[in-house]
Amino acid sequence: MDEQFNKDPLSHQHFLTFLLRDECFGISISSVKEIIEYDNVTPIPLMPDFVKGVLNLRGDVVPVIDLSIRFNKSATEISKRTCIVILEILFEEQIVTIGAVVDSVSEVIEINMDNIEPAPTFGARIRAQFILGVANVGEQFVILLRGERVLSLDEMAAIIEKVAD
Amino acid sequence: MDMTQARSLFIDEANSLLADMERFLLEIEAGDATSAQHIDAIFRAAHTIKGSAGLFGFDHIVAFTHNVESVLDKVRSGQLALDGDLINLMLQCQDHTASLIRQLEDESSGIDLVTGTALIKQLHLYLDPAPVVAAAPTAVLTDTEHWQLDVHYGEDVFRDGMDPLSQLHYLQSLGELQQVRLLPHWPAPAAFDPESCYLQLKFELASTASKQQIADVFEFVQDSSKVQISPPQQVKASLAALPTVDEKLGTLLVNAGAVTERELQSALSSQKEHDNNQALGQVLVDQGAVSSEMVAVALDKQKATEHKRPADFQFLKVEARKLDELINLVGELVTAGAGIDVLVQEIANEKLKESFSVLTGLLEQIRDGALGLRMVQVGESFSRLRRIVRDVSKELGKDIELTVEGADTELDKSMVEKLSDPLMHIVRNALDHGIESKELRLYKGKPAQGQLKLSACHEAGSVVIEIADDGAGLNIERIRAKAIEKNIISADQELAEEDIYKLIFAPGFSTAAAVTNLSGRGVGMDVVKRNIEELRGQIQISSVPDQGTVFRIRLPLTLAIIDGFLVSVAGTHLVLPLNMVQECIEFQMSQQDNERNYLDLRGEVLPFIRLRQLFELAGPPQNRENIVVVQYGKHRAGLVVDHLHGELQAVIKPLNTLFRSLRGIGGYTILGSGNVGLILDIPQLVQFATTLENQSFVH
Amino acid sequence: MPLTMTQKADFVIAEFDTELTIFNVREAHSILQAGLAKAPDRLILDVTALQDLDSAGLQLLLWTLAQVRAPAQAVISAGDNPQFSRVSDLYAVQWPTHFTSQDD
Repeated sequence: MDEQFNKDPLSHQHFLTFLLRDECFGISISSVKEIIEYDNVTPIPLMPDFVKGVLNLRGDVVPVIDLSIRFNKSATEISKRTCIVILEILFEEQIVTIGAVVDSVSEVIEINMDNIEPAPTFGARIRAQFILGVANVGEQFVILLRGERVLSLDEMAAIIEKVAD
Repeated sequence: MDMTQARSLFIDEANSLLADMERFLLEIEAGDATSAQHIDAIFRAAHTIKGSAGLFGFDHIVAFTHNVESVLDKVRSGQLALDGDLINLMLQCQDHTASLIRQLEDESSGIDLVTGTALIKQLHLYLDPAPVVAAAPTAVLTDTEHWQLDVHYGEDVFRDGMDPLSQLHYLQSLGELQQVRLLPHWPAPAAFDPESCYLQLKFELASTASKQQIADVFEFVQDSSKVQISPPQQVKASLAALPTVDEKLGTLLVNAGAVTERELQSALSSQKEHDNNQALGQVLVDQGAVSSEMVAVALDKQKATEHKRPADFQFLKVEARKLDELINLVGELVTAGAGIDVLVQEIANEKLKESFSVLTGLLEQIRDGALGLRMVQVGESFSRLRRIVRDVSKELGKDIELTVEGADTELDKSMVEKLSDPLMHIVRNALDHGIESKELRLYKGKPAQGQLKLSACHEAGSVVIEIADDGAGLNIERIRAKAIEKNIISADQELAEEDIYKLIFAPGFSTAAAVTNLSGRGVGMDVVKRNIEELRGQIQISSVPDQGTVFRIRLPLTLAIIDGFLVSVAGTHLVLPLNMVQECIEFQMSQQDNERNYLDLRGEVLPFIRLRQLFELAGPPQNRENIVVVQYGKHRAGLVVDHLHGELQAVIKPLNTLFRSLRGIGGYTILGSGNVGLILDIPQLVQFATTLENQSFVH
Repeated sequence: MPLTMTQKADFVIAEFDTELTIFNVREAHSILQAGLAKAPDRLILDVTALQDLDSAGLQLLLWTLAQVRAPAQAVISAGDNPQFSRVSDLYAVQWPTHFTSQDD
C-alpha cells in the first residue's frame, strides 16, 4: 500500500521554516497567509522597537512586528532577503492579520508530530511558552513556534502601554 | 422572506412603535403636544402591535395589547380623559409590552405574568362594561353584520413564513367566523409542491371592526395574495350617517370603513397609470373593492371643497448590513480615486484632468450621500433620557424640568447607538448627585424645581452635546479627598481644577455618600469616558459651586470618511481633519532660534507643537518648516511639519488593537500612492502634548 | 421521519409523527408519494399523534386524499386529537372518516 495513504493527517503537519539571526524557526503553515518582500513599512510614532510599523496589504492595514526583538535579540537588519511573513492569528475569536519580519524564508517541511521534542526549559533564550517544541530536521534543530503566543496582541499591546506610560 | 426575518421585522417595528408611544405619552404629559394627534398615534401604535402579534400567533401579546388598545380607544373617542394617572398606567403598559417583545428575542427570560395581570386589572377599571356608541372620527359600526372575505393565497405564502391559520385565529378576536369554505386549487399531480400554497379561503366575518382593521390582518400576505373584503350592507348606512365633512371621495370611503387605505392607493395609481379620466369611484368598483351603490352614497356626501393633507414623510427600511457594505464600497471608491488622482497629476493632460475633476465632484457627492444615509437625529437618544428623567426624579422625590435643544442635530447612527449608554450615565449622575433635594435648593435660595438641559449642535465639523444641570456643582475638595483615599492620586499631587474634575472618570471612583440603586455603584463614569473615546470624541467638565455642572461631549460627525489635509514629517505622512485646519504659515528661522513653543500670530499668542519632537521622529529639523494652524472649539494650536501636500479624502481605518494606547492618532488611511497615512486626532494630540509638557515640569 | 407507512392486511396505514408543518411537508410528501405509487385500495391517514399542524400540513392531507381515486378510498383517523380538530374546525374541513361499503 502506498505510504501516503497511511498517514494520519493529525500526526503530520507542515511548517514554514525561516531564519532569524542564524537560528532556524518553524511556524505551522495553517496560520501563514503569504510571504512578501520587506517594503513600504510605515513607522508608527512612539512605538517600542519591536513594532516596525504598518503595511498596506491590498487595502488592509497590517501591523508589522520584528520577531528578533520580540525574542530579546538584536533588531533585524533589513537586507535584500528580508521578508515579512503575513500570519493570521486567532485573537478574541477573530482572525487578526499581522506581519512578522524574518531574515529569510527557507522552505516548507513536513514534520511528524511524534518526533517533536518538548521545548528545552532553558538554553533557547526564548520564553518557553512561545515554543511548541523542537524538531530535528536533517542536520539541524528547528524551533517550532506557537504563533498565537508569540504574536499575542493582548500581551504586545500591554507592553506598548507600559512603554507609552 | 423567511420566518426569522419576518419575526425580526416585527420586533423591529414593535420597538419603534413602542418608542413612539413613549415619546408621545411623555409629550402629552409635559403639555407640549397637541393631544388629539398624539392620542391617535398612541392608539395606532398599540393597535398595530396587536395586529402584527396576532399574525405571528404571539397570543399573550395580543391579549395584553388588546386591553391597552381598548382603553386607548375610549380616550380617542373622548370617553376617557388622558390624565396623569392614566398616562402613568399607559407608560407601565408600554414598559410591559416592551418586555414582552424583548422576551421574544431572548427566550431565556420569562414572561412577567404578575405585572401583566396587575396591569390588565387596572386597565379594566377604565373599561366601562356598558357598550357606548362612540362618535369616533372613524365610523365604528354599531351593528354586528357580515363581512364577505375572499382570500386567494399566493403560492409563496407558506414559504414566506405566513400561515392562513393564524389569520383566521386572529380574526376570531375581531368577531365570529361563519361559512368558512376552504377551496384548494390543485395543480397537475406532477407539479404539486408541498411547500407551495394552493388554498383559497372564503368566509364571512360577523364583526364591528372597520375594513382597515380587517385588512390589517392580511397586511403581510397582501403582496403575494389576492384579498377581497366586501363590506356588509350596513356600512352604507353608517356612511350616510357620517358627519358632513369636506373630504374627497376616497377619504370618505376609507373613513366609513368601506375601503382600505391600500385599496384607495392602488385605485389612485391605476387611475394615474391608465391616464384616463375614469372616476375614482368606478376604478374602485372595477377592482371589486366596493359596490357601485356604495360609491353613489359616498358621492352624494362629497362636497366640492378640497381638503389638503400634509404630505407624509416616506421611509424605506433598509438592512443596516447593506448600508455598511455600500459605505465600505464608497470608501474603496474614494481610495481608488485618490490613486488615479496621483496618476492624473503625473500625466498632466489638461483634458484628462478636467474630466477627472468632474468624476471627483460626483464621487464626493456619492460619498456625502452614502454617509448621509447613516445620519439620524440625535433626538432619538434624547427621548429615552426623557423617560429616565421622569422616572428617576419621581423616585428621588425631586422636581426636575428637562429642556432639550437641537434634537434634530444629525449624527452617524452607529454613534447615536453607542452614545445612548454614556448619556444615560451622565444624566443619572446629574439627577442623583448633581441636583439637590427640594429642601436644600430652597435653603440655598434656588427655585425648588431643578433644571436639566440637554443640547446638541454642530460646531466646526463636530457635534457637541451638552448635559447641563443647575445643581450643587462638583466639590473639588471632596473629589480630591476621595481620589487620595482610593489611591488614584498621591496626597501631595498638585492638580488644576479641570484635572480634578477629570478624576471622576478614573476607574473605581465614586463620590456618592450613599449608594443608591441608580448610580453611585462606582462603575460608570470611567466607562462613559472610554465609550466616548472609542467614538473618537472627548468629554469635558466645567462646574461652578452651587450653580451647576456642564458635561460637554464633542464627537466627530462620522466614523467612516473625512476630508483631510495631508502633511509629512520626516517621511511620515499625517492627515489632519480639514475642517479643523485654519491656515498654513511658514515657520521662520528666527522663531526656531529659541526654545519657546509659541509665536505671535497677528497679535495673538499661538502655542505650537513640534510634531518631529512629540512623535520622536528621526532626523534633524528641516531648514524650511511649516506651521498648520488648527482650531477645535475654543482651542487653537499650531503644528510644526516638514511639508504640506494638500487636501485629500481619507477613508478612516480603525487602529489595530495593538496600538490602543497610542495618543494623538485616530486611525490610518491608505494614500493615493499606496502608502499608509496616519490620521491625527487633534484634540487628543494637543492634550497629549500638554500632559507631556506638564510632566517635564515635575521632573 | 414525519410519518411511517405500513401495510396491514389490505390497508395501507400512514402513521404521522407529532409534527406536520411547512418544515417537513416536503419529506412527508415524498414518503406519501412513494406509498401512493403502489396504488393501495385503502389508505388510512393516522393523525392521532399530531401535535403540530399548520396550513401547509393540512394542505398536504387534503392533497393526499384528493390523489386517491375511486374505487380506492382514503380516510383520516384522528381519534380524539384536540389539536387536529382545532385546526379542522377553524377551516371547517369535513374529513372522510369511514370507508364506504363496497364489497360488504
